[in-house]
Amino acid sequence: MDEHIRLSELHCDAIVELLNIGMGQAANSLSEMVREEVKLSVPSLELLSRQNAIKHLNGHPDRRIAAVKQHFEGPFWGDALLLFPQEKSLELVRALMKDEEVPLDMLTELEQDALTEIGNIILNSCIGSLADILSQQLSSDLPIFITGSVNEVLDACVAQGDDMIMFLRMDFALHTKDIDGYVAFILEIPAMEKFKTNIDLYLQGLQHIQF
Amino acid sequence: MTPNTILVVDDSRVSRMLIRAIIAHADPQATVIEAQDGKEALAKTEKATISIATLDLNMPGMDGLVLAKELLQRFPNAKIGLLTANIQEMVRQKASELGLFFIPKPITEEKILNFIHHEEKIKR
Repeated sequence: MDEHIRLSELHCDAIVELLNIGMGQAANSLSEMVREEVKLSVPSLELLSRQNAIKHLNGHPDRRIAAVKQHFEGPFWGDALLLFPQEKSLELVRALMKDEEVPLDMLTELEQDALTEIGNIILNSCIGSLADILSQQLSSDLPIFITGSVNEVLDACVAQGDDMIMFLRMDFALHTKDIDGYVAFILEIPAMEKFKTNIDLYLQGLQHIQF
Repeated sequence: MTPNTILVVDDSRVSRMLIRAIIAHADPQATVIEAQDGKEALAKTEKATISIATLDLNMPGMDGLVLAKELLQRFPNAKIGLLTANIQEMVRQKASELGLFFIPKPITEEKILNFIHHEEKIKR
């Protein structure tokens, strides 16, 4: 990893906290949709090369994952991803539709729609929280649903081999069904540098607070 | 009047820095005790008398609600705020049941000052 994009402990702390606020807002929306509390874990952050990201996600070889990708543009740009094991995705759709008796074949049909909507809520909250707190404007494209092995999903998202992938790991769980997911941000190196500059400005603002 | 002793518990250092800066401006006489988790908070307040506390909810180990219960046993008159990004209605209800103020993140000067200067105590 290039030295100049290494993040300090304070950088990581600030990024986790900004995304934590976004995830909190997202969980609130999700909770209203499923009409139950969404438990959130303590988030953690890792900055990985593409190759290490594949290793990181490949806990189970050939594990299939479902992903929702949303591209964003602004002073820094990249792709935000929501990733979760595919075997859990139908559970999530069931939770969303709990008052409805939905036959299994229709549930599968609804899966893509429902997960894209969940991705839209979670990713927009994270992107929005980053933009608001850093006083920047980020615009995002429509979310895209992708499914496949980790390699296939990352191939669909990461064009260049030297991109950095910022993984925010945050588990969310419903009362009866554990659904663990990741939120990941894929930033090209120039975008990562701009992002780091924005975090620096935010931190400088905090250190010189004079109310 | 005895100066306030304010406990700030958050696993985010940035959040603690921000809260401390706001308190330092609003109440320069106050003593601020910072802790990054519940265990540290309990250890650091063994010999202190806490008048005000802001507690994060999602922290490694003990969460903010469990910590609030422990602190209220020791400091039943303390004014405690649950300061969290987890803004779900169920979380607000749990905070209210314990008699805690609910302060949604992001942290702003206005929210912290409203909490610190709030005269009325929540019924417990």
